[in-house]
Amino acid sequence: MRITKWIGSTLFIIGILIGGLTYAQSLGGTLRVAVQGEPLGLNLILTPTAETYQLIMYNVAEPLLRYTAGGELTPLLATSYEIEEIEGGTRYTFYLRSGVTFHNGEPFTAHDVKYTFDSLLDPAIASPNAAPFSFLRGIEILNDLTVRFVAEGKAAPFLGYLASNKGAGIIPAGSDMEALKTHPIGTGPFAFVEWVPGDHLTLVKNSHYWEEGSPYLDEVIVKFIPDQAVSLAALLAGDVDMVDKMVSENALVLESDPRFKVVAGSMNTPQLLAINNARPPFDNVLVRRALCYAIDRNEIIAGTVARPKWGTPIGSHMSPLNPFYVDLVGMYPHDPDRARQLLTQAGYPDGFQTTLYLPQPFEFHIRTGEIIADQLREVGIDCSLQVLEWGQWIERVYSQWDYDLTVIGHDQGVEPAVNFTKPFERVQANGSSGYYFQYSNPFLRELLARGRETFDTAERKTIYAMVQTIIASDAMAVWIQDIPQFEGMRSEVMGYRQLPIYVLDLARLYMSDG
Amino acid sequence: MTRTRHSRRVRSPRRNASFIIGAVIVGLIALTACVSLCYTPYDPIKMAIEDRLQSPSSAHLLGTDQYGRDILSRIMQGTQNSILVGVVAVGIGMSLGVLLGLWAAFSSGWVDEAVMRTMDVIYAFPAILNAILLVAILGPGIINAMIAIGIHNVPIFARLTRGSVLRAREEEYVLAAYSLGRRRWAVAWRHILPNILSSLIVQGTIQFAVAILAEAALSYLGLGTQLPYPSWGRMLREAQTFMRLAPGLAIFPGLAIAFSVLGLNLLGDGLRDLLDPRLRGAV
Repeated sequence: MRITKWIGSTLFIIGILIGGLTYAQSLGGTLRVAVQGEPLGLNLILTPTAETYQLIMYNVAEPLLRYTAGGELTPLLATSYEIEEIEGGTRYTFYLRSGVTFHNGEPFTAHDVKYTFDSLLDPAIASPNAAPFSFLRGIEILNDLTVRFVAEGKAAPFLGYLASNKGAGIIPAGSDMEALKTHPIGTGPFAFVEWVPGDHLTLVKNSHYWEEGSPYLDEVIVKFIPDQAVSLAALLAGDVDMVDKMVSENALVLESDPRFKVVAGSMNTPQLLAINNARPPFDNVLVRRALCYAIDRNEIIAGTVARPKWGTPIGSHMSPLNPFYVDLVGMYPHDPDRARQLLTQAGYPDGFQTTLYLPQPFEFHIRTGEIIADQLREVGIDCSLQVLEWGQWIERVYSQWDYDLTVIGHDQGVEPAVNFTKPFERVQANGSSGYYFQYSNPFLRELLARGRETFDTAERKTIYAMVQTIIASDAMAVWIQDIPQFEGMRSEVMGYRQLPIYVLDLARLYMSDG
Repeated sequence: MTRTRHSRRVRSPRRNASFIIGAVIVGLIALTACVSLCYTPYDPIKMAIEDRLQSPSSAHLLGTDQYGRDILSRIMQGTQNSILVGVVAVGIGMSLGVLLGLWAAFSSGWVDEAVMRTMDVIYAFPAILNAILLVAILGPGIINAMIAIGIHNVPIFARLTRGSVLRAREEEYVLAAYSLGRRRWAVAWRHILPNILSSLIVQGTIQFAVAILAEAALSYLGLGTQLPYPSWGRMLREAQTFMRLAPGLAIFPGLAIAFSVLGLNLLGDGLRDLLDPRLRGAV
């Protein structure tokens, strides 16, 4: 019974729980995990670094809602909510979980929620993470366990922001912002112990955690090891139990060693061959479709990811990790003959000359670009390669749109309204696109506006499926693969699951040897 | 007597071990470059992903790289690249350097000072830093890499030429040429240059090796040869990620660089023994 109360979402997690019960006698232990980057501070409201978010969110500080591994929104500190339309805006009422205490022993109430969001939006505090919440007009406390947000307009992504944005982790009312930078306090499954900059950060099990039986681990030591070769050596030598986000070549080394295992996941970053849709000959949809047919995604995956099973081909501007993703890979199967036909139809029977810009130091994209150039040569497109330093790439390709083709990854969140705003809704004064894809479609913009105002999940899924189908059939870009990330760990480490957001979820991890 | 015989033995090309070994290695490299112009076992650029990261076998003598390209074919084509860089960089360095060196030596006074101090400034920067600086200004690419390495060579040849000219200027054959009414440039061209040619050749051989190393370093940094064309330095860079999986990817281009530099240095040493006029006088 307790199992279903815990999560009850996907079979995957149930599997882990059954596994967990088998080891019920030996759950616990200390986990030493190596991460590449070190946070600049530990206050989710004040610190913009992804590393702060990765370690503190969900683990130390909990938001009102959370994302499951499957990308669904579920209650966390709020047990339920109501959404009402009011004149000129929307009202969200949250009913809070009772019996929750902070790590400092204070009880969790509506006052803490109000204090958190008031601090986040306080111009004097100037949080770098406040912008997404700027449409909030007020937060009222209805009683100790009920809080109401009033927002301007209709904003369906708000719930997603609450579950995944930096700054949405609830802190105790009256907290000192500066003190939280070095000593975070929340209601999460782990309490902060110490942070030795340049070396490690220690978290300890919150024995008063509101969810009974969670977390499993007694202690987590996060070691900061920026060099991939060093973290691999540390894992092989037994100095750490797990390495977060390793490169695929290191994953291959671990794969052949029975003492270790590799969990391949997704970076939630679709990789694509971006096309300058405004520049001839790419302003012709036939040419863009020819590119789609010319490219063999599986060959690229084999040449970049090292193991075909670790790569996932994609066909739209989203990672399969995202619950809104639709699989459109089949729209353009690899077919060089069809590509040559389309090029002839478009008036380029002998192909043409073009340049593919590749961003240094992203070896993954450079390697992808080399393979793409080889595949394009096959259909008669003479594609020369030019490697640009990251700064030059940003300047020339991303800011000035002075390019033909490029290979890059787009880092995304779960909320499609946020992922699609910049690429498809940004327009210049003359109505043409204001983004480096240079793709403009007024109908698509209308559809996206509707998506942002629709609360019903099923309806939203239909809208974003249409969006993805339109951009794919227009061959706005050639989407290649969902960039994988690898977690390498000792085979005793159990219960790892990946979230669709950049958070290392520690609550379900345990060591099978106790 | 004994000394003379000893010297003769050392200075005969057929008895000079470093000259012979160096010449054989350099000859092999030149031959490989020539052969690769019309034949390589596989297309060095065409990918075959399904054959990636194979160890050496009868099909691929040195194995394949991360895209299934034949490493032997790529090293062979990389030879052309290295030789081209060496020839152009030494050519630029020698022609400009000799002209500037002659000019400085014959002008003396402030021209000499100005030219040589400029050379000192260029020479003060380490070769790679110099090349990176120039490539940063001119943009990455093999042509610019050649120019950059060539410019670094200029002061070396300028100093060598100037020093040799200053020494030769007081020699009797030069004074004799002057007294016969020859002009300065004619003396330089007809009398002095042939006499310092041997040191220039020796220095040229050594700078050739330096140029190959510099190109490899620049390509390793992504500033030299551009994708997808093979260069030994580029191959090393690409191999780095696969060191644990396929060490051959790094070992073979590394050996190619080491061998060619060794060969050129041995040849340079051998040539110095054979050609140095100071030593020749003793024969």
